[in-house]
Amino acid sequence: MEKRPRPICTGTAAANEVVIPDAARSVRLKVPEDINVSQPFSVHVTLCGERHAETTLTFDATMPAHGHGMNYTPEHTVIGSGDSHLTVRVDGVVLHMPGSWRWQVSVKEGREVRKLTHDVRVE
Amino acid sequence: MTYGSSSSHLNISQYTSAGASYLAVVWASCLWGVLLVLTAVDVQLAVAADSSAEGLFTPVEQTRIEAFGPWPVAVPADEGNEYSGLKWAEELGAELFFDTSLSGSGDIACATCHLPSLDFSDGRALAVGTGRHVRNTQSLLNTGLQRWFGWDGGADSLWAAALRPLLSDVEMANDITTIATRLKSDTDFVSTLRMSGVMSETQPLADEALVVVAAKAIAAYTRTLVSGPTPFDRYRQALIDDDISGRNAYPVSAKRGLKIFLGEANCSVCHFGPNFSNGEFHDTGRPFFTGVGQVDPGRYSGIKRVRMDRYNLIGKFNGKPTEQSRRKTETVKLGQVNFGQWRTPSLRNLRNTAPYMHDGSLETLRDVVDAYADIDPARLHSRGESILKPLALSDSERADLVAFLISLSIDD
Repeated sequence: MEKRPRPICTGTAAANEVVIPDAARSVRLKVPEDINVSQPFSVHVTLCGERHAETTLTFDATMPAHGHGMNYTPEHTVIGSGDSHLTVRVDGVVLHMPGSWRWQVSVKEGREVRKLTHDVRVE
Repeated sequence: MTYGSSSSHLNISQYTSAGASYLAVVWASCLWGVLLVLTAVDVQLAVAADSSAEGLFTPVEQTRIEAFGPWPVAVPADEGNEYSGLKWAEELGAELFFDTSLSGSGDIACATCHLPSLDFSDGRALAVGTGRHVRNTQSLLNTGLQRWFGWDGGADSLWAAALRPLLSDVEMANDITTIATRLKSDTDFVSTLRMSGVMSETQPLADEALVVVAAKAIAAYTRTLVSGPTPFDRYRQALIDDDISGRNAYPVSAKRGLKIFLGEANCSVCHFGPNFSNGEFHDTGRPFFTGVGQVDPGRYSGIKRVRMDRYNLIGKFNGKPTEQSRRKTETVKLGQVNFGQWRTPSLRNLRNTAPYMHDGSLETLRDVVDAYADIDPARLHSRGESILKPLALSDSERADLVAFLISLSIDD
Protein backbone atom coordinates (compact mmCIF):
# COMPACT_ATOMS: atom_id res chain seq x y z
CA MET A 1 0.00 0.00 0.00
CA GLU A 2 1.33 3.40 -0.92
CA LYS A 3 2.50 5.35 2.08
CA ARG A 4 0.71 8.63 2.54
CA PRO A 5 2.97 11.66 2.84
CA ARG A 6 2.89 13.24 6.25
CA PRO A 7 0.80 16.44 6.31
CA ILE A 8 3.17 19.37 6.24
CA CYS A 9 1.46 21.63 8.72
CA THR A 10 -0.36 19.40 11.14
CA GLY A 11 0.65 17.22 13.99
CA THR A 12 3.36 17.46 16.57
CA ALA A 13 6.69 18.81 15.42
CA ALA A 14 9.13 16.07 14.56
CA ALA A 15 12.47 15.77 16.30
CA ASN A 16 14.20 17.87 13.70
CA GLU A 17 11.49 20.50 13.33
CA VAL A 18 11.05 23.90 14.89
CA VAL A 19 7.64 25.56 15.05
CA ILE A 20 7.35 29.35 15.32
CA PRO A 21 3.77 30.59 15.77
CA ASP A 22 2.81 33.73 13.91
CA ALA A 23 -0.62 34.97 14.94
CA ALA A 24 -3.10 32.49 13.43
CA ARG A 25 -0.40 30.80 11.41
CA SER A 26 2.97 29.25 12.03
CA VAL A 27 6.29 28.69 10.38
CA ARG A 28 7.93 25.29 10.51
CA LEU A 29 11.63 24.81 10.00
CA LYS A 30 12.88 21.38 9.14
CA VAL A 31 16.60 21.06 9.70
CA PRO A 32 19.15 18.21 9.66
CA GLU A 33 19.58 16.35 12.91
CA ASP A 34 23.29 17.09 12.84
CA ILE A 35 24.28 20.67 12.16
CA ASN A 36 28.04 20.94 11.92
CA VAL A 37 29.92 24.18 12.30
CA SER A 38 31.15 25.47 8.92
CA GLN A 39 29.41 22.69 7.00
CA PRO A 40 26.66 23.67 4.54
CA PHE A 41 23.17 22.34 5.13
CA SER A 42 19.63 22.90 3.91
CA VAL A 43 16.54 24.09 5.75
CA HIS A 44 12.93 23.54 4.68
CA VAL A 45 10.83 26.54 5.67
CA THR A 46 7.06 26.11 5.58
CA LEU A 47 4.48 28.81 6.21
CA CYS A 48 1.38 27.09 7.56
CA GLY A 49 -1.96 28.82 7.29
CA GLU A 50 -3.86 31.08 4.97
CA ARG A 51 -1.48 33.10 2.89
CA HIS A 52 -1.27 35.96 0.46
CA ALA A 53 -1.00 34.97 -3.21
CA GLU A 54 2.47 36.47 -3.52
CA THR A 55 3.97 35.46 -0.24
CA THR A 56 7.73 35.04 -0.14
CA LEU A 57 9.80 33.39 2.56
CA THR A 58 13.45 34.11 3.21
CA PHE A 59 15.76 32.59 5.78
CA ASP A 60 18.80 34.21 7.34
CA ALA A 61 20.99 33.67 10.38
CA THR A 62 23.02 36.03 12.54
CA MET A 63 25.23 35.89 15.62
CA PRO A 64 23.96 38.82 17.69
CA ALA A 65 26.81 38.62 20.19
CA HIS A 66 29.40 38.73 17.43
CA GLY A 67 27.79 41.44 15.34
CA HIS A 68 27.71 39.47 12.10
CA GLY A 69 25.69 37.04 10.08
CA MET A 70 26.56 34.31 7.64
CA ASN A 71 29.29 34.63 5.05
CA TYR A 72 27.06 33.23 2.32
CA THR A 73 23.67 34.13 0.88
CA PRO A 74 21.58 30.95 0.93
CA GLU A 75 19.66 29.97 -2.17
CA HIS A 76 15.86 29.76 -1.91
CA THR A 77 13.70 27.43 -4.02
CA VAL A 78 9.94 27.05 -3.71
CA ILE A 79 9.28 23.33 -3.50
CA GLY A 80 5.61 23.29 -2.50
CA SER A 81 2.69 25.65 -2.35
CA GLY A 82 -1.04 25.61 -1.81
CA ASP A 83 -3.82 27.74 -0.39
CA SER A 84 -2.74 27.03 3.13
CA HIS A 85 0.99 26.47 2.94
CA LEU A 86 4.17 27.50 1.20
CA THR A 87 7.41 25.55 1.46
CA VAL A 88 10.81 26.85 0.49
CA ARG A 89 14.04 24.87 0.51
CA VAL A 90 16.98 26.97 1.63
CA ASP A 91 20.33 25.60 0.45
CA GLY A 92 23.81 26.67 1.42
CA VAL A 93 23.24 27.64 5.03
CA VAL A 94 26.64 27.77 6.75
CA LEU A 95 26.96 28.55 10.45
CA HIS A 96 30.67 29.17 10.58
CA MET A 97 31.21 29.52 14.32
CA PRO A 98 29.99 27.63 17.35
CA GLY A 99 27.79 29.61 19.71
CA SER A 100 24.44 31.34 19.72
CA TRP A 101 22.78 31.93 16.38
CA ARG A 102 19.51 33.66 15.63
CA TRP A 103 17.55 32.19 12.76
CA GLN A 104 15.25 34.65 11.10
CA VAL A 105 12.40 33.92 8.71
CA SER A 106 11.01 36.90 6.83
CA VAL A 107 7.45 36.50 5.60
CA LYS A 108 6.77 39.11 2.94
CA GLU A 109 3.19 39.65 1.84
CA GLY A 110 2.60 42.69 -0.27
CA ARG A 111 4.27 45.56 1.54
CA GLU A 112 4.19 43.86 4.89
CA VAL A 113 7.20 41.96 6.16
CA ARG A 114 7.01 39.93 9.33
CA LYS A 115 10.23 38.71 10.87
CA LEU A 116 10.10 35.59 13.02
CA THR A 117 13.11 34.53 14.97
CA HIS A 118 14.36 31.45 16.71
CA ASP A 119 17.50 31.28 18.84
CA VAL A 120 19.67 28.20 18.73
CA ARG A 121 23.02 27.22 20.01
CA VAL A 122 25.38 25.32 17.75
CA GLU A 123 28.27 23.37 19.18
CA MET B 1 32.50 17.07 13.08
CA THR B 2 32.34 14.65 15.91
CA TYR B 3 30.95 16.17 18.94
CA GLY B 4 29.76 15.04 22.15
CA SER B 5 29.20 12.21 24.31
CA SER B 6 28.22 8.66 23.91
CA SER B 7 24.50 8.15 23.57
CA SER B 8 22.86 11.00 25.33
CA HIS B 9 19.25 11.64 24.45
CA LEU B 10 17.90 15.12 24.90
CA ASN B 11 14.29 16.11 25.15
CA ILE B 12 14.03 19.83 25.19
CA SER B 13 11.18 22.25 25.12
CA GLN B 14 11.78 25.92 25.53
CA TYR B 15 10.23 29.29 24.90
CA THR B 16 12.32 32.04 23.45
CA SER B 17 11.64 35.67 24.07
CA ALA B 18 12.42 36.78 20.57
CA GLY B 19 9.30 38.47 19.23
CA ALA B 20 6.36 36.21 18.67
CA SER B 21 8.40 33.13 18.36
CA TYR B 22 7.63 30.07 20.28
CA LEU B 23 9.66 27.06 19.78
CA ALA B 24 9.12 23.54 20.60
CA VAL B 25 12.00 21.40 19.73
CA VAL B 26 12.18 17.86 20.69
CA TRP B 27 15.70 17.17 19.86
CA ALA B 28 16.60 13.58 19.83
CA SER B 29 19.55 11.66 18.76
CA CYS B 30 23.13 11.74 19.09
CA LEU B 31 25.52 9.04 18.72
CA TRP B 32 28.57 11.26 18.57
CA GLY B 33 26.77 14.26 17.69
CA VAL B 34 24.41 16.43 19.60
CA LEU B 35 25.35 19.44 17.65
CA LEU B 36 22.41 21.67 18.10
CA VAL B 37 21.23 22.37 21.58
CA LEU B 38 19.32 25.14 23.13
CA THR B 39 20.97 27.79 25.18
CA ALA B 40 19.49 26.75 28.44
CA VAL B 41 20.92 23.30 28.15
CA ASP B 42 24.37 24.63 27.69
CA VAL B 43 24.00 26.83 30.71
CA GLN B 44 22.76 23.94 32.76
CA LEU B 45 25.72 21.85 31.75
CA ALA B 46 28.13 24.66 32.38
CA VAL B 47 27.04 25.07 35.95
CA ALA B 48 26.90 21.38 36.61
CA ALA B 49 29.41 19.99 39.02
CA ASP B 50 32.85 19.46 37.62
CA SER B 51 32.66 15.78 37.02
CA SER B 52 35.17 15.34 34.27
CA ALA B 53 37.76 12.68 34.69
CA GLU B 54 40.50 15.24 35.16
CA GLY B 55 38.60 17.40 37.57
CA LEU B 56 39.90 20.28 35.54
CA PHE B 57 37.32 20.58 32.77
CA THR B 58 33.58 20.98 32.95
CA PRO B 59 31.45 18.56 30.94
CA VAL B 60 30.90 21.26 28.32
CA GLU B 61 34.64 21.85 28.05
CA GLN B 62 35.30 18.15 27.83
CA THR B 63 32.77 17.90 24.99
CA ARG B 64 34.56 20.72 23.21
CA ILE B 65 37.89 18.99 23.70
CA GLU B 66 36.47 15.86 22.11
CA ALA B 67 35.44 17.97 19.12
CA PHE B 68 39.13 18.62 18.41
CA GLY B 69 39.45 15.07 17.18
CA PRO B 70 39.81 12.34 16.36
CA TRP B 71 43.00 12.97 14.48
CA PRO B 72 43.86 12.47 11.70
CA VAL B 73 40.54 12.88 9.95
CA ALA B 74 39.67 11.79 6.44
CA VAL B 75 40.59 14.47 3.94
CA PRO B 76 37.77 15.17 1.49
CA ALA B 77 38.40 15.06 -2.24
CA ASP B 78 39.60 18.30 -3.77
CA GLU B 79 36.52 19.94 -5.23
CA GLY B 80 36.43 19.99 -9.00
CA ASN B 81 39.54 17.79 -9.23
CA GLU B 82 38.72 14.58 -11.03
CA TYR B 83 42.18 13.23 -10.24
CA SER B 84 42.04 13.83 -6.50
CA GLY B 85 42.79 10.65 -4.60
CA LEU B 86 44.24 8.83 -7.62
CA LYS B 87 47.64 7.29 -7.02
CA TRP B 88 49.14 8.21 -10.38
CA ALA B 89 48.14 11.84 -9.88
CA GLU B 90 49.58 11.98 -6.37
CA GLU B 91 52.89 10.54 -7.56
CA LEU B 92 53.03 12.81 -10.58
CA GLY B 93 52.10 15.78 -8.41
CA ALA B 94 54.93 14.98 -5.98
CA GLU B 95 57.43 15.18 -8.82
CA LEU B 96 56.00 18.41 -10.17
CA PHE B 97 55.97 19.93 -6.69
CA PHE B 98 59.76 19.78 -6.56
CA ASP B 99 60.30 20.69 -10.22
CA THR B 100 62.01 24.07 -10.67
CA SER B 101 61.54 23.99 -14.43
CA LEU B 102 57.89 24.94 -13.97
CA SER B 103 58.92 28.47 -13.04
CA GLY B 104 59.71 31.21 -15.50
CA SER B 105 63.23 31.60 -14.15
CA GLY B 106 63.79 27.86 -13.98
CA ASP B 107 65.02 27.91 -10.40
CA ILE B 108 61.87 28.07 -8.28
CA ALA B 109 59.64 25.12 -7.42
CA CYS B 110 56.60 24.88 -5.19
CA ALA B 111 58.97 23.34 -2.66
CA THR B 112 61.17 26.43 -2.71
CA CYS B 113 58.66 28.19 -0.46
CA HIS B 114 56.95 25.08 0.90
CA LEU B 115 59.91 23.26 2.41
CA PRO B 116 59.18 19.78 3.79
CA SER B 117 61.72 20.40 6.55
CA LEU B 118 59.62 23.33 7.80
CA ASP B 119 56.27 21.58 7.52
CA PHE B 120 55.93 22.99 4.02
CA SER B 121 56.39 26.61 5.04
CA ASP B 122 59.57 28.69 4.53
CA GLY B 123 60.54 30.29 7.82
CA ARG B 124 60.40 33.78 6.33
CA ALA B 125 58.13 36.59 7.38
CA LEU B 126 57.14 37.25 3.79
CA ALA B 127 57.38 34.83 0.92
CA VAL B 128 60.04 35.37 -1.70
CA GLY B 129 59.66 34.00 -5.18
CA THR B 130 60.55 35.85 -8.33
CA GLY B 131 59.55 38.91 -6.37
CA ARG B 132 58.74 39.75 -2.78
CA HIS B 133 55.29 38.77 -1.63
CA VAL B 134 53.25 40.74 0.89
CA ARG B 135 52.11 37.62 2.71
CA ASN B 136 53.56 34.87 4.79
CA THR B 137 53.89 31.38 3.30
CA GLN B 138 51.33 29.09 4.85
CA SER B 139 52.13 25.50 5.71
CA LEU B 140 50.62 22.95 3.38
CA LEU B 141 50.15 20.32 6.06
CA ASN B 142 46.48 19.39 6.32
CA THR B 143 45.62 21.94 3.67
CA GLY B 144 43.08 19.58 2.12
CA LEU B 145 40.81 20.19 5.10
CA GLN B 146 40.16 23.80 4.13
CA ARG B 147 37.25 25.06 2.10
CA TRP B 148 39.11 28.13 0.83
CA PHE B 149 42.81 28.46 0.09
CA GLY B 150 45.31 31.19 0.74
CA TRP B 151 45.16 33.82 3.43
CA ASP B 152 42.39 35.62 1.55
CA GLY B 153 40.61 32.55 0.21
CA GLY B 154 41.32 33.73 -3.31
CA ALA B 155 41.17 30.13 -4.52
CA ASP B 156 38.14 27.91 -4.03
CA SER B 157 39.93 24.61 -4.62
CA LEU B 158 43.29 23.12 -3.90
CA TRP B 159 44.05 22.78 -7.60
CA ALA B 160 43.28 26.43 -8.27
CA ALA B 161 45.57 27.29 -5.37
CA ALA B 162 48.29 25.13 -6.93
CA LEU B 163 47.90 26.79 -10.30
CA ARG B 164 47.98 30.38 -9.15
CA PRO B 165 51.66 30.49 -8.02
CA LEU B 166 52.78 29.15 -11.38
CA LEU B 167 51.36 32.23 -13.07
CA SER B 168 51.90 34.81 -10.31
CA ASP B 169 54.42 37.54 -11.13
CA VAL B 170 55.90 37.43 -7.64
CA GLU B 171 55.96 33.67 -7.24
CA MET B 172 56.92 31.37 -10.13
CA ALA B 173 56.21 33.91 -12.86
CA ASN B 174 55.53 31.60 -15.75
CA ASP B 175 52.84 31.47 -18.42
CA ILE B 176 50.55 28.80 -19.83
CA THR B 177 52.34 28.38 -23.14
CA THR B 178 55.79 28.02 -21.62
CA ILE B 179 54.63 25.59 -18.94
CA ALA B 180 52.73 23.51 -21.49
CA THR B 181 55.75 23.38 -23.77
CA ARG B 182 57.87 22.20 -20.90
CA LEU B 183 55.27 19.55 -19.89
CA LYS B 184 54.90 18.26 -23.43
CA SER B 185 58.64 17.72 -23.63
CA ASP B 186 58.55 15.61 -20.46
CA THR B 187 58.19 12.04 -21.66
CA ASP B 188 57.35 10.76 -18.17
CA PHE B 189 54.59 13.33 -17.76
CA VAL B 190 53.13 12.60 -21.19
CA SER B 191 53.25 8.82 -20.77
CA THR B 192 51.62 9.07 -17.32
CA LEU B 193 48.75 11.07 -18.77
CA ARG B 194 48.35 8.63 -21.62
CA MET B 195 48.45 5.58 -19.38
CA SER B 196 45.89 7.12 -17.07
CA GLY B 197 43.60 7.94 -19.97
CA VAL B 198 43.72 11.70 -19.46
CA MET B 199 44.86 12.14 -23.05
CA SER B 200 45.91 10.04 -26.00
CA GLU B 201 48.27 10.37 -28.92
CA THR B 202 45.38 11.17 -31.20
CA GLN B 203 43.65 13.42 -28.67
CA PRO B 204 46.24 15.65 -27.05
CA LEU B 205 45.21 18.32 -24.57
CA ALA B 206 45.31 22.01 -25.35
CA ASP B 207 48.01 23.96 -23.54
CA GLU B 208 45.77 25.42 -20.89
CA ALA B 209 44.06 22.11 -20.16
CA LEU B 210 47.45 20.47 -19.85
CA VAL B 211 48.61 22.99 -17.26
CA VAL B 212 45.37 22.51 -15.35
CA VAL B 213 46.02 18.77 -15.26
CA ALA B 214 49.49 19.47 -13.85
CA ALA B 215 48.00 21.75 -11.18
CA LYS B 216 45.41 19.12 -10.30
CA ALA B 217 48.18 16.55 -9.96
CA ILE B 218 50.12 18.88 -7.64
CA ALA B 219 46.93 19.36 -5.63
CA ALA B 220 46.40 15.60 -5.50
CA TYR B 221 49.83 15.40 -3.90
CA THR B 222 49.42 18.28 -1.43
CA ARG B 223 46.09 16.81 -0.31
CA THR B 224 48.08 13.84 1.02
CA LEU B 225 50.17 16.03 3.33
CA VAL B 226 48.59 15.17 6.63
CA SER B 227 50.37 15.53 9.95
CA GLY B 228 50.45 12.84 12.59
CA PRO B 229 49.01 12.74 16.10
CA THR B 230 50.32 15.23 18.63
CA PRO B 231 50.66 15.20 22.43
CA PHE B 232 47.30 16.97 22.56
CA ASP B 233 45.66 14.26 20.45
CA ARG B 234 46.97 11.61 22.84
CA TYR B 235 45.70 13.60 25.82
CA ARG B 236 42.29 14.01 24.21
CA GLN B 237 42.09 10.26 23.69
CA ALA B 238 43.24 9.63 27.25
CA LEU B 239 40.42 11.85 28.51
CA ILE B 240 37.88 9.90 26.48
CA ASP B 241 39.32 6.55 27.60
CA ASP B 242 39.78 7.72 31.19
CA ASP B 243 43.38 6.64 30.84
CA ILE B 244 45.18 8.04 33.87
CA SER B 245 48.72 7.46 32.68
CA GLY B 246 47.87 8.99 29.32
CA ARG B 247 46.40 12.03 31.02
CA ASN B 248 49.39 12.40 33.27
CA ALA B 249 51.76 12.35 30.31
CA TYR B 250 50.37 15.68 29.13
CA PRO B 251 52.12 18.73 30.62
CA VAL B 252 50.17 20.49 33.37
CA SER B 253 50.90 23.87 31.83
CA ALA B 254 49.37 22.72 28.55
CA LYS B 255 46.25 21.61 30.43
CA ARG B 256 45.96 25.03 32.00
CA GLY B 257 46.52 26.60 28.61
CA LEU B 258 43.78 24.44 27.11
CA LYS B 259 41.43 25.62 29.84
CA ILE B 260 42.15 29.25 28.93
CA PHE B 261 41.90 28.47 25.22
CA LEU B 262 38.38 27.11 25.72
CA GLY B 263 37.30 29.64 28.30
CA GLU B 264 38.52 33.13 28.94
CA ALA B 265 40.44 33.52 25.70
CA ASN B 266 37.57 32.12 23.60
CA CYS B 267 40.01 30.92 20.95
CA SER B 268 37.95 27.84 20.15
CA VAL B 269 35.19 29.94 18.63
CA CYS B 270 37.26 30.31 15.47
CA HIS B 271 39.93 27.67 16.02
CA PHE B 272 37.44 24.90 15.97
CA GLY B 273 37.28 21.19 15.13
CA PRO B 274 40.06 18.67 14.48
CA ASN B 275 42.08 21.09 12.36
CA PHE B 276 41.61 23.97 14.80
CA SER B 277 40.10 26.17 12.12
CA ASN B 278 36.55 26.97 11.11
CA GLY B 279 37.87 27.58 7.61
CA GLU B 280 36.37 31.05 7.42
CA PHE B 281 37.64 34.63 7.68
CA HIS B 282 37.93 37.09 10.51
CA ASP B 283 39.26 40.51 11.29
CA THR B 284 41.53 40.21 14.29
CA GLY B 285 42.94 43.69 14.19
CA ARG B 286 46.15 42.85 12.42
CA PRO B 287 47.64 45.63 10.32
CA PHE B 288 46.99 45.52 6.60
CA PHE B 289 49.30 48.24 5.40
CA THR B 290 52.00 46.76 3.20
CA GLY B 291 53.87 49.94 2.42
CA VAL B 292 53.35 53.67 2.11
CA GLY B 293 49.89 54.13 0.69
CA GLN B 294 49.50 50.42 0.04
CA VAL B 295 47.12 48.02 1.73
CA ASP B 296 46.37 44.33 1.52
CA PRO B 297 42.58 44.11 1.76
CA GLY B 298 42.61 40.42 2.69
CA ARG B 299 39.32 38.60 2.19
CA TYR B 300 37.83 41.59 0.40
CA SER B 301 40.22 41.10 -2.50
CA GLY B 302 40.09 37.33 -2.11
CA ILE B 303 36.37 37.20 -2.85
CA LYS B 304 36.78 39.51 -5.81
CA ARG B 305 39.61 37.40 -7.10
CA VAL B 306 37.89 34.07 -6.73
CA ARG B 307 34.82 35.37 -8.52
CA MET B 308 36.92 36.47 -11.48
CA ASP B 309 39.24 33.48 -11.41
CA ARG B 310 39.22 31.61 -14.68
CA TYR B 311 40.02 28.48 -12.70
CA ASN B 312 37.28 28.71 -10.09
CA LEU B 313 34.67 26.05 -9.42
CA ILE B 314 32.10 27.84 -11.56
CA GLY B 315 34.39 27.70 -14.58
CA LYS B 316 34.85 25.13 -17.30
CA PHE B 317 37.90 23.54 -15.70
CA ASN B 318 35.87 22.17 -12.81
CA GLY B 319 36.19 18.47 -13.57
CA LYS B 320 33.54 17.35 -11.09
CA PRO B 321 30.90 20.07 -10.92
CA THR B 322 28.45 19.71 -8.07
CA GLU B 323 25.74 21.93 -6.69
CA GLN B 324 27.68 22.35 -3.48
CA SER B 325 30.94 23.41 -5.09
CA ARG B 326 29.16 25.84 -7.41
CA ARG B 327 27.12 27.26 -4.57
CA LYS B 328 30.12 27.99 -2.35
CA THR B 329 31.68 30.31 -4.89
CA GLU B 330 28.47 31.80 -6.23
CA THR B 331 26.90 32.67 -2.89
CA VAL B 332 29.84 33.97 -0.90
CA LYS B 333 29.05 37.51 0.25
CA LEU B 334 31.28 40.47 -0.52
CA GLY B 335 31.13 43.55 1.67
CA GLN B 336 33.21 46.13 3.47
CA VAL B 337 33.20 43.80 6.44
CA ASN B 338 35.58 41.56 4.51
CA PHE B 339 38.28 44.23 4.48
CA GLY B 340 41.14 43.11 6.70
CA GLN B 341 39.78 39.62 7.23
CA TRP B 342 42.10 36.62 6.98
CA ARG B 343 41.42 32.94 6.91
CA THR B 344 41.54 31.30 10.32
CA PRO B 345 44.75 29.27 10.20
CA SER B 346 45.03 25.80 11.62
CA LEU B 347 46.90 25.71 14.90
CA ARG B 348 48.49 22.35 14.23
CA ASN B 349 52.27 22.19 13.90
CA LEU B 350 52.88 25.83 14.69
CA ARG B 351 56.21 25.02 16.29
CA ASN B 352 57.80 24.57 12.87
CA THR B 353 56.04 27.31 10.96
CA ALA B 354 57.13 30.60 12.54
CA PRO B 355 56.78 33.48 11.97
CA TYR B 356 53.04 33.93 12.24
CA MET B 357 50.01 35.82 10.92
CA HIS B 358 49.25 36.77 7.32
CA ASP B 359 52.18 39.16 7.19
CA GLY B 360 54.60 37.14 9.29
CA SER B 361 54.73 40.04 11.70
CA LEU B 362 54.81 37.95 14.89
CA GLU B 363 57.97 35.97 15.42
CA THR B 364 57.00 33.66 18.25
CA LEU B 365 53.95 31.96 19.69
CA ARG B 366 54.32 34.16 22.74
CA ASP B 367 54.07 37.18 20.44
CA VAL B 368 50.86 35.74 19.04
CA VAL B 369 49.36 35.18 22.48
CA ASP B 370 50.40 38.68 23.54
CA ALA B 371 48.87 40.17 20.40
CA TYR B 372 45.47 38.65 21.20
CA ALA B 373 45.65 39.24 24.93
CA ASP B 374 46.54 42.89 24.45
CA ILE B 375 44.38 43.46 21.40
CA ASP B 376 43.44 47.05 20.72
CA PRO B 377 39.69 47.12 19.95
CA ALA B 378 40.22 50.43 18.17
CA ARG B 379 42.16 48.58 15.49
CA LEU B 380 39.31 46.25 14.74
CA HIS B 381 37.16 46.95 11.74
CA SER B 382 33.92 48.62 12.79
CA ARG B 383 32.06 45.46 11.89
CA GLY B 384 34.74 43.04 13.02
CA GLU B 385 34.46 40.27 15.54
CA SER B 386 32.87 42.06 18.47
CA ILE B 387 33.81 39.23 20.81
CA LEU B 388 37.49 40.14 20.57
CA LYS B 389 38.48 42.04 23.68
CA PRO B 390 41.67 42.51 25.66
CA LEU B 391 42.33 39.68 28.09
CA ALA B 392 43.69 40.17 31.55
CA LEU B 393 46.08 37.26 31.31
CA SER B 394 49.04 37.00 33.64
CA ASP B 395 52.50 36.17 32.43
CA SER B 396 52.16 32.56 33.55
CA GLU B 397 48.75 32.20 31.91
CA ARG B 398 50.23 33.40 28.65
CA ALA B 399 53.01 30.86 29.02
CA ASP B 400 50.35 28.18 29.61
CA LEU B 401 48.61 29.10 26.37
CA VAL B 402 51.91 28.80 24.54
CA ALA B 403 52.49 25.39 26.13
CA PHE B 404 49.11 24.27 24.86
CA LEU B 405 49.80 25.57 21.35
CA ILE B 406 53.14 23.76 21.28
CA SER B 407 51.35 20.54 22.23
CA LEU B 408 49.47 20.77 18.92
CA SER B 409 52.70 20.01 17.06
CA ILE B 410 53.94 16.52 16.36
CA ASP B 411 56.81 15.29 18.50
CA ASP B 412 60.38 15.69 17.30
